[in-house]
Amino acid sequence: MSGNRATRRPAVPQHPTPAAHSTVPRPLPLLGLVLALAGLAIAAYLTVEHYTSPALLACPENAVINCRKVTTSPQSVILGIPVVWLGVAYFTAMTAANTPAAWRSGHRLLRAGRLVLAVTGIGVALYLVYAELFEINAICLWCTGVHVISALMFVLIAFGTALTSKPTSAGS
Amino acid sequence: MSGKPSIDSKRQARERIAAQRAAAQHRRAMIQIASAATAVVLVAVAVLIGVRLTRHTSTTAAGKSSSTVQAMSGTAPASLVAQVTGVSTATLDKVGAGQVGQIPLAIKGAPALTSGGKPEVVYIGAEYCPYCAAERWPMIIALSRFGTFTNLGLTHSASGDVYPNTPTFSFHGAAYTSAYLSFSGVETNTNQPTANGYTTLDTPTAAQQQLLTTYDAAPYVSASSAGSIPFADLGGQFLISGASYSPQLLAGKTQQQVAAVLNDPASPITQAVDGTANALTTALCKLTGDKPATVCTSAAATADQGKLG
Repeated sequence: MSGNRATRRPAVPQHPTPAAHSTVPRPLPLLGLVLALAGLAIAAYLTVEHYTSPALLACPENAVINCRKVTTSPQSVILGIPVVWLGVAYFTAMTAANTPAAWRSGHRLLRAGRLVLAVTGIGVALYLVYAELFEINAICLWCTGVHVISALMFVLIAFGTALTSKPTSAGS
Repeated sequence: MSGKPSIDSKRQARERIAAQRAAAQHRRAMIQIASAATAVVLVAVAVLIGVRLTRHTSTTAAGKSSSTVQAMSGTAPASLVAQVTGVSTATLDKVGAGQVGQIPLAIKGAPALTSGGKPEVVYIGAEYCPYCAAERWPMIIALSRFGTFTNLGLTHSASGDVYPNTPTFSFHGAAYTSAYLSFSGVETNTNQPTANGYTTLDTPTAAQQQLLTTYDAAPYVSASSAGSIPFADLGGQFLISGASYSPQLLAGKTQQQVAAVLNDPASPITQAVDGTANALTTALCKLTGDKPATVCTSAAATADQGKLG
């Protein structure tokens, strides 16, 4: 009997199927989802602020911390699109890409897309930090919150992708 | 019969171990890439902050050396002050309400603000602030209709801020005498950058700070603009929070160039500066009980009468 069982074992698929990516560390999707939702909430708040706050012809008491100055600067628009919109779109896509089902999926396009999003996010965040420090000369704490979340998501997704990746020859 | 499965299972075990090793090696390589990418991001952030701090220090040093040049201008030339404080009544009357973004806001139920038995005007701003730079022009014109400024300084807004180098005067060290009003001008900072903002200049008294805390906050102004400057309390009856027109109008001009057009009603600068001065004059007339009559009955002083509340 035991010999029969041993002869049947090779029938088990040798190449990993998408289910092989179910070895995703449990906290990963949860953490990714929480970060993406937090980023989405801040981006949504900044979008509402962007469109509802009247133009303020005043300086805040603290000249360095000045959210209005940052969100109404020329750098707050990239290729004609307000950065706040880009933020909402980015974190909406990130929320979808960080659901447990998305992390369990072994779909290469999805995994690559999530990684590209993370790289794009940190790239834009670095540019915006540069713009705040060198061009606008002011820092928006809400924007900084978004940048920190983007950086954390980048690290999370980079390591998450590394931990759940399989050698190409194994069919990943 | 029993030997073959054994060989197969050994081969499979070896293959499995090899596959596991390959997978582990791959994972290690991927984790190294992720670690390197994370390190690149951390280095990029550190470089950005480091360069910014370095540049800030050199800017501050440059600012200190150039302040020697600015100090030479020091007190505003009498001819310039005369030009600004002597805008003709005909021009002011013709401009009337002008093109003004906001007029003084009436405060309901606040105690009267007085000093030396006269209604007091308290202004709190800073030399680096371009919006303060814009608002000082009409304040000087309006207050000069009730009294006389001496020792007005010349300055401009910060070079590294929005609307850089907006030309203006400074109330730091200035004095104001009037039979009708008292005036206190506080410039909290210069236009010279430091690591944490700008060099400190005047410190508001506890009472002045209390005015800012109380009236430059909700519900008098929107919560998002609480604490903003310029701020002015006009006798406890009106307040100003923010500039009444955009500093963009003064961009690229010297004080002399701005002063030169203040008697031209067709100039957009005049429409904004003189128009704001007229709104302020209307408010100040309410504080003085419409004195002096020559000022308070003029077309300029009555143009905004219905709007002030």
